[in-house]
Amino acid sequence: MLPLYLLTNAKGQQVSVELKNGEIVEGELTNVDNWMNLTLSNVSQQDTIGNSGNIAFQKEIVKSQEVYLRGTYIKYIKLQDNVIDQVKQQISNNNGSKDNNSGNFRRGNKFGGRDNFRRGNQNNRGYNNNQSGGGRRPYQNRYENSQRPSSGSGMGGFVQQHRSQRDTNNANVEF
Amino acid sequence: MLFFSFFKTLVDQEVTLKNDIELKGTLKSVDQFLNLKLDNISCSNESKYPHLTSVRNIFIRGSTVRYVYLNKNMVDTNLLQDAARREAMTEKK
Amino acid sequence: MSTVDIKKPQMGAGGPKKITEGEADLYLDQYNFTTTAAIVGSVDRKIFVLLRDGKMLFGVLRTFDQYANVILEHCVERIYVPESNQYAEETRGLFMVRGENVVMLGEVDIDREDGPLESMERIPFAEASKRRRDGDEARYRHETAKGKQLARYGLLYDFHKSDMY
Repeated sequence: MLPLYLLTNAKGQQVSVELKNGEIVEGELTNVDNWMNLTLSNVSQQDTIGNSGNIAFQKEIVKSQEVYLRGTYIKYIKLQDNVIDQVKQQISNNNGSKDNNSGNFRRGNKFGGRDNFRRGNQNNRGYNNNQSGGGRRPYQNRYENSQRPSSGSGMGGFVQQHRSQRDTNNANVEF
Repeated sequence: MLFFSFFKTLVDQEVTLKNDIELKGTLKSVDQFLNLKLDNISCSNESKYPHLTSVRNIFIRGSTVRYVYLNKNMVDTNLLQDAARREAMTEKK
Repeated sequence: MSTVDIKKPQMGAGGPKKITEGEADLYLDQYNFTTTAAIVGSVDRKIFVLLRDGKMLFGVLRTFDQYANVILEHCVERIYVPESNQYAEETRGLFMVRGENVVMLGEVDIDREDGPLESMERIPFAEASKRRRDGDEARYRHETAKGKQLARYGLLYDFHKSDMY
């Protein structure tokens, strides 16, 4: 699950975005695109956080109905704590209603960190073309066999569950 | 791509970084943006970043690195010169 | 080291090779030199992230991408005040950090990270935040003054307010 995917699935939720200049923009996320440009509604923006200790500091809060935020100007985004669980729920709901034989789809969505690596490389074809397909295989195998601490509710847990499936279908995963 | 290849040859060697934070460690990985991954790090300015004592390996964004200190024996300057010249020629075309 | 000899011919593109290109490729392919390859090992582990503005975040790395955008769960922001041996913490929840703002990130050994904290005094976050802001202001003034001085000699000293790390 890529960060952008998580963000896209957080639409409709309250988020708090800190910009590069320290300003904070809070609002309901209405749209996200591939460059992380955001549109928020019911927005309030203020000049930096953590001024509570100093009463003399004037915080100006500007409210607006809708705001468009350029992705390149974002420092970080605070999401609601339940976003990860919600998205996992959505994914499992989607899978439940789809054909069980859609192995590739499942691999695309249910895997955590490891698949991020693969998907990242899929998108990045133009950049990392000094990688060979053979190179990726040994790398994958290394991590499949390593002793990773089992996580519990983390996305790594998903990877462990489906490991056997991925092993047998390894040949199908091609970039 | 030249420095990317150059750093690839330095993998498993000990390098020191200075970006106001001086870090020493074994270069484990590098990528095309010259982001570095170091293992077994030790830090010279402990006080500013005390948590670094409990950290064993880090990923450093290439754009933030000011210097990478190397030993002379890690570099074959003649080979590097040749490679640089060759790269400049290919770029000229 | 003989391995260094094997690697070196790779540097010169098309130069004299002591081993076949295929052999060298196989050797280097073990490492897979990409951003994602460097980070994937830290998933579901507690990491620290140092941001360009000097903020120190601790959290569990849940996911990331090729730009090093990261999702941190149970994120905590920590401010160290070394001069007075104090620190402050504040929980931040679920964070998505844009990759370009990251200076460095690394795995924290959860058994050892509390060590230095035990000898430090914990203070309220607002107080530490104010101290950090004052420190940043002072540093900004100092660096801009330095920049002006160097400019008199024709030297360019680049200091950005957004780079406080």
